[in-house]
Amino acid sequence: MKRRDVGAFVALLTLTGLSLGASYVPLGAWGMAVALGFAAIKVSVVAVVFMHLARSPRAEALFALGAVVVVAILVLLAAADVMTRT
Amino acid sequence: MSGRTPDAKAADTGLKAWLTTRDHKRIGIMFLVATTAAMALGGVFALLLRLELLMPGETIVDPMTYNRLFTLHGVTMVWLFMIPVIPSGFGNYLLPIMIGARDVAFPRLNLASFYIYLVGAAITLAGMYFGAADTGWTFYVPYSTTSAAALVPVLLGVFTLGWSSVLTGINFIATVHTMRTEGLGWMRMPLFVWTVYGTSIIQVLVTPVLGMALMLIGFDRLLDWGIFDPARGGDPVLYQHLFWFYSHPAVYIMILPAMGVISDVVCAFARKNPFSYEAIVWSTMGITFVGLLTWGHHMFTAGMSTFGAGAFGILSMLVAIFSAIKVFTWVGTLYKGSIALDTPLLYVLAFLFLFIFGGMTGVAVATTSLDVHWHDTYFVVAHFHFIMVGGTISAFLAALHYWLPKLSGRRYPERLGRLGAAGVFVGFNLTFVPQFLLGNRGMPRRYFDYPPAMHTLNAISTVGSWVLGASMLFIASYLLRSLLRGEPAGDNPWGAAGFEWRTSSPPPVHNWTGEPPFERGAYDYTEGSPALEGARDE
Amino acid sequence: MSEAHFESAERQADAARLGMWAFLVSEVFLFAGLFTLYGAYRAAWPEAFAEGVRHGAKMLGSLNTVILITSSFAVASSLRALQEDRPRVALRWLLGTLALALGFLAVKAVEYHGHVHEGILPGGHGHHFATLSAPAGQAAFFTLYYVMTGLHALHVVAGAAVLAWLAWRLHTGALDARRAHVLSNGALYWHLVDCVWIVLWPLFYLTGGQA
Repeated sequence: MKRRDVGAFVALLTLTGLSLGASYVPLGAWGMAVALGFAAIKVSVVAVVFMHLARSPRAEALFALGAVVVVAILVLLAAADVMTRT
Repeated sequence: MSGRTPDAKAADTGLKAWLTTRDHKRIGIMFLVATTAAMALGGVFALLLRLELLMPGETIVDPMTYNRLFTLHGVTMVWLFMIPVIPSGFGNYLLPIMIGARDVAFPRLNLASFYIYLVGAAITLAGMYFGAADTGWTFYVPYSTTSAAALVPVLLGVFTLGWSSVLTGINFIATVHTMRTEGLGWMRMPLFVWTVYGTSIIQVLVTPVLGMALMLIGFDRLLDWGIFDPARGGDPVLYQHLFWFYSHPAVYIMILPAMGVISDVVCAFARKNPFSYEAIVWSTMGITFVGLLTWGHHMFTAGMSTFGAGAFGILSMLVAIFSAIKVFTWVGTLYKGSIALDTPLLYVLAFLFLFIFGGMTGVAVATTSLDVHWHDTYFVVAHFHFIMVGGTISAFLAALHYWLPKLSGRRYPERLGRLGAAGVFVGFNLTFVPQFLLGNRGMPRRYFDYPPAMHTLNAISTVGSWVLGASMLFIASYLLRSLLRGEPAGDNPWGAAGFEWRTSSPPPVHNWTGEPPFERGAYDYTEGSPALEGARDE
Repeated sequence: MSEAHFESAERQADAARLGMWAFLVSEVFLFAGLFTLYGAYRAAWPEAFAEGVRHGAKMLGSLNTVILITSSFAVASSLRALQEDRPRVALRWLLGTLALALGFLAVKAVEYHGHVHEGILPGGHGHHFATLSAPAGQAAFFTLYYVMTGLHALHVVAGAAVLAWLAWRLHTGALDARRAHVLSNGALYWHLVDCVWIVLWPLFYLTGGQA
């Protein structure tokens, strides 16, 4: 089972490297999306493997997912106001 | 099950034993004492505010003192009383008993949250008193970053109170998930437990956002960081977003457990199962979630975009659907029930009337075009007092009367109870119905003065506040007397089926002397129910 | 009344873990408001924020990302070792985690020192902003930078204190395989500190392109 942790560690380092590399590519407005995409994958790896979310009771996974959803609601609804002001 | 084991009070009644207790019942009682004291204090501030408004012009205080008074009133009532009273007070006392546990999951953390509350309350009150805080409970920027008052201690105090709230929420979530007795599935839990659970989730999610927003104001005042400063391109409306992301769900922190009280009391006094247990549970969770999506309706006129206002207006109206489901289930429960018109049920009836009134005006102010007229007027003040005072305080008084025998083993005098309930109802309506009319005529909130044409309605409102204040004093006096010299109540004076009535009153130190007898449901009034064993003396 | 009120040791571990998860959720929300401000202000000043990112210490920030990821792996390995009843191995991994935590803080200190030296302080203070024709956007960027990375650094300090306490308990033998859930909770907290940084890293060090 230890291989799982090592695998996650290698994956995280690789993703970090890729993300760093991508930051040198002129992606324009997509730069932010790509960088946050890498971050989301990395957070998922930490949560699922290191924090054992996949094998946790359902309640814990539900809390973690719910928290992400509600943070997204806060950021998006506030942004919806700011960006539609005339 | 009501064996003569040493009960919580008999164990050790010394002051030190109380202050270091980890017994959830004692912590609950300490919260109740502290929060009720805060309510009395907040009530005195309210009476002073109304007294100033008795006549146009300066009556008893100058405008700056008036600003400080409404800040004291709002902060005390919201953070010291309304947020913690039902969850941390009654919730602490009852939640573990209602799920057949011997205590909450983390008893030491529970005591810590009480002390954090006390420290936070002390800092907040002292900070407001000595710092002359005059921003109202909302601490809106840019006034809060430029006001000459010393605000940082108050901000720190509210931040501290927030952590008490978060820790209690965490504790209750873990308790409900892991401490339920064998065989008590989710869909058999008492409705009060469901609402406290929903409240706990809200507390954990939104409170830290407020804490951080208040800290940013603190940085701005102490270090001149100007993060919301419009002069430096900052956006004060963003502060309002963060503030209301907490403070609107905070309304549900105040009203959800109140709804739980109503659900339990209405069943006990109609001697019926709830009209639809599932509908109440799902509407509770519905309010918990949708309540997180509505905060923007406080900002329709604050410079928010039309799109944002429309979205938040519609989302806000969704809450009315869940609230209406609850109202229908309560009324449905009463229908063809075997109704006993005791004091707790009188408060439930008052709650129903006032909550419908408050809720409907809520839909009205969620309508953006109407809100342009009503925003920041007494119409809004009356609306949220109908929910907060008419809703939460009615439920608080219902709970106090319903569970007093559970907490103390003694009864209150029923006749005086009914009289008090009538006084509260009359006083409340006399105080706040005129405020709807004043608001509709354009009287802005938070002003210490008004034109003479508005004198009559203001005078009626002030007289109403005296009736309300006198009724509360009257209720406090007979309840205190009952605590000391009331008739012994027996274990189950109401003949209620709720789980909490299946142990002695007050319960023994570990709540249960044997296995909790939970085979029959908490709302089971059919043949052979534990409720029928209880002595009903009327 | 001690923890004896739990039905079983597993129930106690379940409650402790669930309580920790709920606490982690509240910690996420401590940052949530700041993410909102970042989003709104970045939308208002896209170019100034990109300029701010380009001005940041990209290599130091990336080094810290690697440090925290490694520390997350180390604390996970420590927990694994304790669960397999090898407390000495667990202690070594935990001390490694602690060393990485201190390393993170040291790098952070170098980074802050560099910014202060350049005249970049929170709130648009410092001589750097005097050289700009329109300093508002960069001022907002660097204020958020200090608040968010500072709040995160405080969490690193708190996490390091927890790790040190756990290491001491492992050393004295008070923490053994039967009470592994205590270490598990400490590890969960540390992973959260890592997760927050994983999100902060692109926001303050990577997204300097034309946004």
